Amino acid sequence: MIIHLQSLSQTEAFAKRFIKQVAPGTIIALEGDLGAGKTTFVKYCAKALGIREIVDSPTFTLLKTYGPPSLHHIDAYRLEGGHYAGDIEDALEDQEAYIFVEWASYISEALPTPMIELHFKHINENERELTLIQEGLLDVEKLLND
Amino acid sequence: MIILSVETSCDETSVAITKDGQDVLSNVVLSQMNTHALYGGVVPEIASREHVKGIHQVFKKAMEEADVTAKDIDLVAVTQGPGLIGSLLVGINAAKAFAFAHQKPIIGVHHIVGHIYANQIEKPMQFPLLALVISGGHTELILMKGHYDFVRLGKTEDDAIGEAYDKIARVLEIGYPGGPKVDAIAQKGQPVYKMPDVSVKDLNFSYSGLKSHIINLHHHHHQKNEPVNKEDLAASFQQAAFKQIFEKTQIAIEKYHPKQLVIAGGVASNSYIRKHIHTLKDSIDVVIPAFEYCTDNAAMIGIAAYYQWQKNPHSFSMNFNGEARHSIEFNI
Repeated sequence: MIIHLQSLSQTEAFAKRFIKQVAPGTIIALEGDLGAGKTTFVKYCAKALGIREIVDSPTFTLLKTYGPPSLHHIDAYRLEGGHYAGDIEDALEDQEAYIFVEWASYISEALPTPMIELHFKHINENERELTLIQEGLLDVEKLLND
Repeated sequence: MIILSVETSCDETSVAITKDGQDVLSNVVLSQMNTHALYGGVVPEIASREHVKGIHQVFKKAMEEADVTAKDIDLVAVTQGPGLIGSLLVGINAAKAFAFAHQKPIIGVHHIVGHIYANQIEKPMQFPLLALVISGGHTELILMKGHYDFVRLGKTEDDAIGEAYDKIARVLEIGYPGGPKVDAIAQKGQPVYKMPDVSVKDLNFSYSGLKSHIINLHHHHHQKNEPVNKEDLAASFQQAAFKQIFEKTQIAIEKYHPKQLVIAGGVASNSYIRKHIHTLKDSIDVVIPAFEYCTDNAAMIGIAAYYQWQKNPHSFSMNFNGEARHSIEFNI
């Protein structure tokens, strides 16, 4: 399904409805170009979960963990080219945490299925088009309505 | 006190011998830059393997250059984090093995604290001290009221400044490592492109909006078949990136009245900050490490370790482990 997010506040509201539906242990794969809004989305999900720490880019260290509730923020940007993600294996298998993976396609072999996929497309400064592939893991009605 | 220090947090394998938190007797750095340049960035798995390959010869060379043997070493220090966990573990295990074999005390040192203490090699620290930490993984302002006393005043809310440089270099296709490449072409350009006004609260920073703006500008020009002037774009980005740094640093100086401002981290080697940092309004003593101590190196870890040991002597154990995400405040 395709979701149009026309402002940061719409993105925040969607993130809040989205994360409520996700069961811990499910991988949330985030795709989209640099600057498409992947980290911003994780920030809003963390905020909705009551995490107060600043969620910043995990590109440098591959993995940042926050919480409680436990949230792993993984960035596979530096793993392009199929180099196995041994460093982040434990985080990917944590059944009690919310697990976000940016640039997930770079490590697709290491990821369990089914997972939730979110593709971000930049429209303009604040507007994004979001494609959600979720294989029945989420209740669409509750995702779209407050 | 002679300290043997080890640093392997990212893509530099380094061992140093330092004396009394001041003198660098040797500082051997084996860079993996050429290996990673093939991939356009540091590949963590390859970094760990390269550390394993190089660490023995780096140990040996550091001791030879300093003309010391194991019995001369009083303390072993190693970067504990933050960094790439696989890379950190190579240095930690090598350092622990050395300490265990020669019955020496060993302590884990915070990587960013090491970068701050790189300035102590230039001249003695004066407190209160404001540290501006700018690197590929960090953009932070830290206040020190004395040795090994850290309060974080602000940090980036999204990307680190060095990370923004790397990502922009990738989009502009000007090569790796991104920081020096963007800096080099920026010096040939003019800051003619309008950049967004980034304002985040308190003493925090933000680079994700600026990064997205540059990337979109580049894409728009590309789609319209009007190539963007990369040199001007780099110059515009560089000016905007440091405008934020200077503004927040100025606010921190006015609020906390530090005697000294030290710059730490790889981005401290950037030409723009070196040229413009002295234009800060207050006549504050500004210290920037020499180029060789801006990038990752073990000497800075040895200098920091001396002060960590002074503050908390004889507290060591073999039980510490690598910490990929290591807080400067919680752990000291």
